[in-house]
Amino acid sequence: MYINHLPAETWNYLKMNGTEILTVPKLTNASFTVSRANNIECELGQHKGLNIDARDNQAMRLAAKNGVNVTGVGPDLDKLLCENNISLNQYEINENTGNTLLFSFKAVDKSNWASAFEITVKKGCKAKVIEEFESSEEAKAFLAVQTKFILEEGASLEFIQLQRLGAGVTFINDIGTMQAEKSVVNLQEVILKTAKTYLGSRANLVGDAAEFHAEVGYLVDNKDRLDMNFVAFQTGKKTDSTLNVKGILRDEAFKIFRGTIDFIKGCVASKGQELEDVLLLDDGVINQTIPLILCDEEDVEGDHGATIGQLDEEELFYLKSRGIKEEDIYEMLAKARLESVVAKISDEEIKTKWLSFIE
Amino acid sequence: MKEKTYVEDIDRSLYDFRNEDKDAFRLDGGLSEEIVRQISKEKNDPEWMLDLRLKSLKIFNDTPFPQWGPAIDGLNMDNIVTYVRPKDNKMMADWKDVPTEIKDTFEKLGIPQAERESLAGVGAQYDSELVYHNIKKEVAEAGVIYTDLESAMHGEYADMIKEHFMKLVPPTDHKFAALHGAVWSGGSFVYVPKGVKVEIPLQSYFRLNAPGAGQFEHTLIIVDEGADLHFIEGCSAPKYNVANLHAGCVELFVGKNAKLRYSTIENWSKNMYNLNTKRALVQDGGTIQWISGSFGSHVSYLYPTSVLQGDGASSEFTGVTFSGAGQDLDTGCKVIHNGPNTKSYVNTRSISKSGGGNTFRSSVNINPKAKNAKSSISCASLMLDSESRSDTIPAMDIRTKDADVGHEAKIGSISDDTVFYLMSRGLSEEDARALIVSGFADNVSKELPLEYAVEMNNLIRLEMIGTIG
Repeated sequence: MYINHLPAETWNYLKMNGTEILTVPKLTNASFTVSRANNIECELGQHKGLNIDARDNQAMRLAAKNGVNVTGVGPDLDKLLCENNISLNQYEINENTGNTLLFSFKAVDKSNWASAFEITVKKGCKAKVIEEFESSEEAKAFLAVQTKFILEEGASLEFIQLQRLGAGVTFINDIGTMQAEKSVVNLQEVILKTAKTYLGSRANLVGDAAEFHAEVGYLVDNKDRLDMNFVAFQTGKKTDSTLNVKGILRDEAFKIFRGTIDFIKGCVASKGQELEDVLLLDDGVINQTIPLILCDEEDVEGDHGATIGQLDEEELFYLKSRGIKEEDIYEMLAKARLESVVAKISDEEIKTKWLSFIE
Repeated sequence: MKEKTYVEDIDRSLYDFRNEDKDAFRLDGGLSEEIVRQISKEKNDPEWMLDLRLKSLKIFNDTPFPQWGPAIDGLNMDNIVTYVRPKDNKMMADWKDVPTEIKDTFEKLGIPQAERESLAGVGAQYDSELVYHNIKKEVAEAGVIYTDLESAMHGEYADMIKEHFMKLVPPTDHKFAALHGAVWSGGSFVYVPKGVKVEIPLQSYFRLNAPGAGQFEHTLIIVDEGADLHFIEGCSAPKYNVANLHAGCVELFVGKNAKLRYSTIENWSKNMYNLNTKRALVQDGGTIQWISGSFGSHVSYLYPTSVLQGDGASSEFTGVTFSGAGQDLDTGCKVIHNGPNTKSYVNTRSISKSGGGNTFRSSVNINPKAKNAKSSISCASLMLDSESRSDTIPAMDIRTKDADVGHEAKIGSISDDTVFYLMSRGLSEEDARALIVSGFADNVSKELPLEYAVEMNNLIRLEMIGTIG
């Protein structure tokens, strides 16, 4: 299975264009709990797959332009879910339903699970969707979760994902948003225990003035692996995307961040911004970062930035002069980075719970 | 109604004249072992070089075409003539002895005048062969060697050539490095001895006149410990309806505490596939500075690479790329930090118009032993209309905690607010826009020697009309 494909390829020897997962077990529908679903019904369907080559960027662009909700992980996961007869959990949030859904996954030892969600937020409605992914420290498991959103005109979504998985878990976390005009998505992604995580997120901003904003905080330690692919596909006029990623790598961790702002011809007056800030705490870490801006529209503003490494010497000197030991400074800063992302979560119960994990 | 700003294409008339090549010696088109052996025979290669050529040919045949960059479907190797030399070609050390037609070509390009006025030495290549090489007496007396590579390979520097040739860019590097290894011809060899500082630049100028031909020159420069050199490379060709190919190779060895500045103004015609490879290996305390202006070619793949091997080695890359109609220019750089305390600085600008495509592509690798490495990358792109395209694809791979890497990129069009601000200070709109575009590329032009900055400004001759309604 080939996933997390970069929307424009670069030199193959860098091994950043995408990721091949060689062994995928037979998958069954995941066990999870749903709460806070006040009057929001689930309609079960069957995942239909997606017949697109996972390396064919033009085909993905064309499909997304035509309303196909292409995701960040890519079409091979759609195929996998279809082949394994994974159910499609469909929800609709409208003016007559509640507006919050909380899904909790606890990957148990020896489980090979998958889930697929398609959540529609009707015109002008507000929704909050929270997904928690946890497991025991010892669990060896495979978990693939695909969450697709359809946002109608003027709809807004707060989407929060939080993750603590044991080292033996392989997790594919796939997100796709298909956004009509003036719809807004705010994604908050918190990864405290990474295991082996493949995270793909694609915002298809096809409607005028659609917006996608993401805040991501991660800690990758031990020999864990975090493989990310974020794409803001902007075809509507005056669309806006921001992506702020803050991370910490320690021990022998590996992380790749792919972030793409894809301005398509006609997306006049659109904006895109992405920033990654990575703190490297140990010599065994491997950090790969590849932030792309692809642009075939003149009237846009795009920028990206990255800072990677250790603390600025002046900042370090200042903190040391206050009597704090260097190793304590880095611990403090690592914690502060994660807290700064969690602190923005508007849901008090979830925020308190996950702040306690950071402590 | 909004009328678009019009920016004129680069004026190419200076470069577009052509000579009939009816008297030239040409090998058949395509690439085969027989052709490679013929080139080797023409060049009177030593045996190791023939072996290298044949090994490279095999690698070329076994290596697929790159799939990640601009399309090169229009390049049919069966039609490319890999070796063309002027009739009765001999390399001359005096302009008077160079054949009239070729001499006229370089006179039009201003090369002899530049040599007289501002250069320490000049090499001129016409199609596959060097036709002129000369170095100022006082520079030669300081021990500086500047000669054609073939002569050097048979003379007292033979061992030095063998030791360095295609060691930094091996034929296995990529398909067109292998092609170069198989059919290379011409190019320069420079050696600057320990502690010698060459005050004024050396220049090699490459002219490809023959239609449907390839140029595969090899530049090998060794700047020994504590030495200092500025080397300038210029290239141009007239435009033909058939594809031409440039697959040169530049290998630069920068010794301890040495400094090399390598400037290029590339102005190939728009039928050219410019698939060039440039690489520098920098030892302790050494510095490589790349100044790169890319204006010509139909398709370019060009990423000068700095391998910062020694403690405290550093690199600077300053580049500007301008692409117009029918051009797809994929340019950038690579930096590999192997040594501790190494530093790299990348600063690029790209401008695209009239359907031109620009890609800034880079990679910075900081390896585990590169403690305290620092890297700063800044790239900016300006799109002058919505028919054009501009992409940035920067990659970073960091494998030590003791690194400090900063990257920033911006893409956009000319800001109406900035135009308005300048107009409120008394400039006309045309002048305001011209000023913004000129200023955008200024970081590169200010790094060039004056006469090349003037050439660059000639290349980007901008005419602004129109108003915002």
